[in-house]
Amino acid sequence: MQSSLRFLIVAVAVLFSLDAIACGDSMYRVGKGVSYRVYTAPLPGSVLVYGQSEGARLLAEALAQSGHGVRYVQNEAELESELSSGSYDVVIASYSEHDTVEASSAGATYLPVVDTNDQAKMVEEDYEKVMVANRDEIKHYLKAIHATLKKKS
Amino acid sequence: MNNRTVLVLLGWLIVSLLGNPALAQEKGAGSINVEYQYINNDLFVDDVGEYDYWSTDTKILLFSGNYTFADKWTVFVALPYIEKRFVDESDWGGDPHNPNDAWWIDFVPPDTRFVDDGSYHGGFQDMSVSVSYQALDGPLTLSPYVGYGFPVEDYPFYAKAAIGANLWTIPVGANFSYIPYFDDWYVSGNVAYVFSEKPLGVNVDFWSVHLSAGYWFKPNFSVNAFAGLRYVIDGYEMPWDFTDDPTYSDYPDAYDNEVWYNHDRLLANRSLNLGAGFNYYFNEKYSVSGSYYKGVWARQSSEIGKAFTLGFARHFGGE
Repeated sequence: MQSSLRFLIVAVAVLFSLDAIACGDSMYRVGKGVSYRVYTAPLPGSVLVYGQSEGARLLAEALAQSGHGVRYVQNEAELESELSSGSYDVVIASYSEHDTVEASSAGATYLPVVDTNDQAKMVEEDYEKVMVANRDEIKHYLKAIHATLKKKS
Repeated sequence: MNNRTVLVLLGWLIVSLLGNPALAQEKGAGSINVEYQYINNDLFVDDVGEYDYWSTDTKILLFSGNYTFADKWTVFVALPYIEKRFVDESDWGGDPHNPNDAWWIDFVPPDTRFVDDGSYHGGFQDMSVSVSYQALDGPLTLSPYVGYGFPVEDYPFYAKAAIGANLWTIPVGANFSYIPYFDDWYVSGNVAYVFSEKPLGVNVDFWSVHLSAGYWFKPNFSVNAFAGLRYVIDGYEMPWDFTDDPTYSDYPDAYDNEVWYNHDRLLANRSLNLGAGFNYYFNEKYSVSGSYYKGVWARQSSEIGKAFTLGFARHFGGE
């Protein structure tokens, strides 16, 4: 299924060159067939998403749709349990949970999520990438995850 | 039930039986499309100058569909219904394409149907069938294809309001696109060498090139700008392949021949069109698209004054 979602984003159906010629009427032809923009993960990884908000749930769904293996957890006990398994490439959680995540995210790269740009500036020196809620779109998360996976590979 | 009805029903039957609703273009995926087009053709440009004596208005209803019948293999079908009219803008009247007017033409052509009377005349033009193979799948996609286009009716071609040249064609080309993984712009294109039936043995094969660049403002809304080039490599050129007189003052005496009767099919049509368009998805099943374009360069061809399209598509998913 994933391969099906990949890069058939622009299905430009311009195979046909229709002509209406009379004393050489110009060709008519249409650029069309641009499809939904569906982002895909060129390097699928395992991602743990932690949060209680609707946004966190939608993020987990979008990441899964792009091709990542995603586990979404909503309480701290589940978070700790999953982190202790050590099977994740990337963990996405609010910066307010950074103590919990960093204490047990063995081998996983932590992508903290903050609320504002000011908060991001305050903590960005400590992390390779800091995500900003309500600003960063799915493509930004995918880009950050991809950079992490590429570095690990 | 006449041939037209059968063809339309057949086309709709084929594309209506394709797959289950979803989005992706994988095996079993496809779409059916209906598009309205309006085209105003204006100046005729030959090797000597531009002629603003006549124009044409063309209205097209284009039925098309595509279906991915196996992984990486997609078939395309299209059939346009075209209505066209001749508009006399000269101050001396008349149309040299009237096959029944002895002043304009003094031989009896094989087909004397007259359609340049100012009214719209229509018919199904050329059905196209193509098969493409997706050779590359990634940020860079490449899909070579081969097709076949053929007239479904014996429509007249000696007229300004002729709906086509009544020739078969075999396009061989490739679609390509580049879409960065995490950005919202894209470029895409199509290059084809089109083998054509050779009227009177004259080679009228042509290159067909379409380039487009676009941007997604939202996942379901994108805009694009595009350019389309048609370039007949050989073909005949007016006036030199018909007369030594660049003013055409020897008309009609020098044109009493089969070559002139076929001139609309023989000319080295060359033109470049530029345009812009949009695509909007209401949901995963239905989308609308539109475009506006005009001719910016033409030789041995009538330049497009203005043209617009409005299309609707029903998408089907795969496995």
